[in-house]
Amino acid sequence: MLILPEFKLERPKSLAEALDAARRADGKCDFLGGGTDLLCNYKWGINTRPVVISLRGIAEMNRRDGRRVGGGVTLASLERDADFLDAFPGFRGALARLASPLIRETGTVAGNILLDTRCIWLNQTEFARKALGNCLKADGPECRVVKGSTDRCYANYSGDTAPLFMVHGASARLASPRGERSVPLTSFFRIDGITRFVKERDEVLVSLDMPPDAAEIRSSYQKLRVREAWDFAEVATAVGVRFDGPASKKRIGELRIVANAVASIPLWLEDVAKPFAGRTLDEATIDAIGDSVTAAVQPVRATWLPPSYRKQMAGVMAKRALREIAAGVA
Amino acid sequence: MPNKSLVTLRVNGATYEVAVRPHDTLAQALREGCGLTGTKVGCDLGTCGCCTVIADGRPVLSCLTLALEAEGKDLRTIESLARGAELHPVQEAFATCGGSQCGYCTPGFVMTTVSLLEHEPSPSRERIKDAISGNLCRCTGYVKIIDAVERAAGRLRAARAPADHPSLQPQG
Amino acid sequence: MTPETGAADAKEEFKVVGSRQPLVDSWKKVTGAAVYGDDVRFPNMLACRVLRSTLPHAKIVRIDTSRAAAMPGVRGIVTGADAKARFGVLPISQDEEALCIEKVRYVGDIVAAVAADDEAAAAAAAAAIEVVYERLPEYTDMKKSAERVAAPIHEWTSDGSNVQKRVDQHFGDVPGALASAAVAPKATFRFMGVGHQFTEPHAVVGVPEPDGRISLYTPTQVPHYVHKALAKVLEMPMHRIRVFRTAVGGGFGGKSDPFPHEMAVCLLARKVGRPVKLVFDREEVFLTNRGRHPGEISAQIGFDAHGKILAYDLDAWIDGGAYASFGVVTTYYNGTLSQGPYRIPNFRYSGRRVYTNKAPCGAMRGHGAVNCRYAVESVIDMACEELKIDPIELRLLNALPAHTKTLNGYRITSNGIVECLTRARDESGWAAKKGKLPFGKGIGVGCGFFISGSALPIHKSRTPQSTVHLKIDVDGGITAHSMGAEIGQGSDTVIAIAVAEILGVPMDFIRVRSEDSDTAPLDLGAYSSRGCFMIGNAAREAAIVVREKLARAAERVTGHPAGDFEFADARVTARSDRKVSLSYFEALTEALADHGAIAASGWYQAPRMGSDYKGAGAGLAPAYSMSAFVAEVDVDLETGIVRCTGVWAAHDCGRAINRLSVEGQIEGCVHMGLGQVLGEEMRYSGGRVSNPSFLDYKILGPKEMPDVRVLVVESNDKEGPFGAKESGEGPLLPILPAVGNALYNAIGMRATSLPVTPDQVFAHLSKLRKSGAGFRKTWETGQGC
Repeated sequence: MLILPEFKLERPKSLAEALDAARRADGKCDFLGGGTDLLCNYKWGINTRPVVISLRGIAEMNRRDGRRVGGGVTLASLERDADFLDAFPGFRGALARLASPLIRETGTVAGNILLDTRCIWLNQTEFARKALGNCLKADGPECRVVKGSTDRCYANYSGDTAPLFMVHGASARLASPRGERSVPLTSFFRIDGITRFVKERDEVLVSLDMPPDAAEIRSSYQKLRVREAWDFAEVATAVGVRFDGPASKKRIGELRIVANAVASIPLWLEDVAKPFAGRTLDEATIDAIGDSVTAAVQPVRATWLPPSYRKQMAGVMAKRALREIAAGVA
Repeated sequence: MPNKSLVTLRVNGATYEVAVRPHDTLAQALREGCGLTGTKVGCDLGTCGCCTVIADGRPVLSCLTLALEAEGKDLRTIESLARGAELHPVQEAFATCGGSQCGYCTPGFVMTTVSLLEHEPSPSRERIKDAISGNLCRCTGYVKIIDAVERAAGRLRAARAPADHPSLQPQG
Repeated sequence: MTPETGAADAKEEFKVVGSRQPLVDSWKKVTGAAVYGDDVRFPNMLACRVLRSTLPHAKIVRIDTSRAAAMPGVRGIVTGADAKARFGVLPISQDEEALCIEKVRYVGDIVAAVAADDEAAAAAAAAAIEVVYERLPEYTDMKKSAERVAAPIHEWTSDGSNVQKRVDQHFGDVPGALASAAVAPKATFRFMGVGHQFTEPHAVVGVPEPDGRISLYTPTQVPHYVHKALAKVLEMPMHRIRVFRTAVGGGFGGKSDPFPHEMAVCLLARKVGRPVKLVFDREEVFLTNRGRHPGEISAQIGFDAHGKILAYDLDAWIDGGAYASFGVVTTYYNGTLSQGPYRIPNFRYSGRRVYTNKAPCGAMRGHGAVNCRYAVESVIDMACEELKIDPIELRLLNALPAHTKTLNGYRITSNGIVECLTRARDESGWAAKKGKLPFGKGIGVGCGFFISGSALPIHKSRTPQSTVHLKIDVDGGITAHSMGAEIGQGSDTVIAIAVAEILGVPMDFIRVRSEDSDTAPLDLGAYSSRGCFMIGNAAREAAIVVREKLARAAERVTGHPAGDFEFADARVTARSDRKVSLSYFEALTEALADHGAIAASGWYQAPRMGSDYKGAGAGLAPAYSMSAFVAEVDVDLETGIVRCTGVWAAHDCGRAINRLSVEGQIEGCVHMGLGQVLGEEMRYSGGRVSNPSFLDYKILGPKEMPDVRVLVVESNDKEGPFGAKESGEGPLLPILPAVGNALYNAIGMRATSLPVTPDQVFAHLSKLRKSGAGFRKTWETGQGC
């Protein structure tokens, strides 16, 4: 059996207590949501810390309140939240195809947003990392995927909900001893497999906040993986469309695209999306968008399937998402 | 080494006081602390579902749940189901339909199924496939597991239905 | 005694045989009561962890355990110095060590084992053991490893290479036959290694008994071979060792070797004088491996213009990894087990097994026959296309008859291949689909042929391969003792059914005890798909002995001749006079009088058969199972993802003793075989397994499983128990080529590298797009059927 390393477990009952525990740990801590990501990494001995602060006891994080989705809400309860899914139907398929039903019962929304980056070299036991050679992210000298990279990690981001929250314009509400702040999810992530995002070590992702007009965006998330359960995305694309005028006319007012699982963060493809404003969402446009997405991404060999294939599939997933949106307004 | 502390776990309607360390999993606490070895560990990483138990009515992976975090929850394991020699309908169905071969994944599948049928009494075959897709079986090819879930669903529905309703009598 | 021929069985109406019986141990499994390796607990028990090599090939210069031994909670450490004897499952290739002695041969080789108060302490101490290695050249490429090398992995490979085994067979005149062939397609296929990946990780407990004996509790398929190996390694006589088979959480061949960790835990237990438990994590299961060999197989098959097979020319290279395991047998099987279910008038085979510095390969479900079957059945379909003959028609044309001999001397008895092919054809709607499905959808066929138990025991011996003891006392319950390893395949249930059938008692009268080497008579274990045939026969024979005793007792009570009694519904009744009837208990009471408990023994020994050339024994079996599957696939033309959408699985199991189990075995085979063709592979980086987890090793889930229509074909084998043959391994063979051939039918891609990955398929589709040929079926482009 793989056993967990030793740590001190803090179980605060309020956000203030959690932040206090983090301050006492002087940053040498991890926050624990559902544990389905963190505890695996801990069992593998990847970047473990002496203090683990469980956020499960913080009631305000465990509920959805209108457009505010608490970070501690489990993926399964969001999947069962009919009101939320009616407002944001794009989440329906994304949640149903996220990890496995058992992972979703425990895994949380914040945990999924903050999902650690993954790599074929990194997500291994200590024994295997010793045998295979360690990587930059796990105390090795250089990245194993992009040889020679000593300052940047190329591990892959594959959280499935962040791209959708991004296309709906959501913000991350962060709390720390220094106070609260709200960061648009589109500027939350920072391209590096180790740093990953702007959240500081002692900050808690309290909730995801949708803007008032979020439900006006029609969205779809399409994901490719080898198996329909367990597997992380090999490549995925989230698309959001705000139609200009009646939706049935399919005139694109605003297009939002996030290419996922092709880099260390979900890629907000603003430049790809922009030129398509004003176009009609027909097959020709869909093909053109898909091709632009493929052209814009440059995955590396950090996952199961080869990067050249995943690059092609980023466009295919974009097309499928667009077709689903088009079909929904037909 | 962090000291062990006593945690009170409510398992199968009984109260267990178990000495655990902060980094002990619920699977460890159930197996070593409570002596309930029906819950199995197959992969340690949430990808086989052998360790599935029910917490507050929903299936959870006990290998990725800390024992201390299970305090205060209503926990149910495979040992809770049979009443003496009388098997729970889900257990009976897994045996009768051949849904269990080597049996190692069976406790996890049974607990997933019990929870599913408590929330959804009449799942379709496709829905059953969805619901059990976090549990891995290497023996059966899942065909007879899906058969078993269907049979159990039928028997449970019949057991809940009024006795004078002939169409809902137990099958077989 | 001689096993009665089953001829009488053919006429009999069976009461229990052929029904759908829940496994007799299923109540334990569905309640969580079954005790697997990790569930075994003893007072004063210690936990063990092992130290494994992180290098693929290195000399051990020095091992320093002093720091580890001084750590808190550590009670004992063993290393290679504690056991000198080498062992292995085959007597001819005893190349394994309990703990590495002079060198390590792969990443994962066990160098030391620690017993401590708990797992964490044992793991910490194992990590604190200092090993100084001197690196040796690493051989991870099979072909390069077969050349003369600087530092052979084992010293006994003869020519300075790492080639462990060569097989060269030639029957008839293959070059001549190929020269005269109308068509002789040829292709080379590459296979990645796959693993059994049962859900229960290996978990063993060694116990030093107060009287100096050693007990080992282990989830093994081969308690007898473990017993023999322990005696050798512990240097103790077998009677001083007890092997207790715990519940086995899946085997598939992956628990059919005596393992170093089984030896190590006993050495530790003896050294520290306390029970010691060792439980593997999932990665260690991958490192222990013994899975299907990766390899490269070339096949050329010559046909005349009518589609009759003229010759097979096969060449197989298999990558054995660091140790021999079953590899000598695998080397033979990769060629020899392609001798059916077709008539092959000329046959040539060259096989090579090469040691490499990788996790050792061994026997996995369908042992040795799976990859070669894929190659052969794919090449047959290539010929069908050239000859414009329907693939099922061509297979029917070449089908072996029943009661014949193959060119290499296999004795074929019952043979339901024709019925398998026609039923799979008819039930699948083949005629309406073949050649008529749109691009992206396809249908294909593949056949199988497998041993129903190896006729020769691994260790040359005149002791029967299976013995079953029955004991009946005043309570009337019948205890069956056997060392046949129940691993979920249902062998205990076969014993119970056989006894219930012969003695006419309900199933709950029978309790099977098949765990304990102290009480069970010898059985060779669960491998080579031998259980049902051999244990079933032994159980049936033992029950017949009991039946005769009860019949004679009935004669003493009634005065009616013993030979006239039949046994049913827990009664003993005269056939000629139904009024002469007594209950099972009345007969039993008389039988016990003045004698005490009934003890009866039945056994099975395969008849002598086969030719006398070198290697003639490989693949000899008292019977062979036959199968033919039709599969349909659906290719996602945008992504290249292939899904199998339907399988019609016709399998000749002789007779379904337990129909529920036969179906379950076939469905399980479909799942495992589909995994190998559509997802599963062990990847390596250098010599290191790089995907040792269920996340990265792609076992298919329920949503990837097609609908499976099981078609049970019963050819009633005259030597099988009640006519039965195997159904646990053979049904894995046909699914791979059926899917491969269906894929070709769908998109015109001949998959020559397994598993088929989405990127391979996408590359093929992209080529079609770019070539301008577009998405059209091969027959539409005039290329054949």
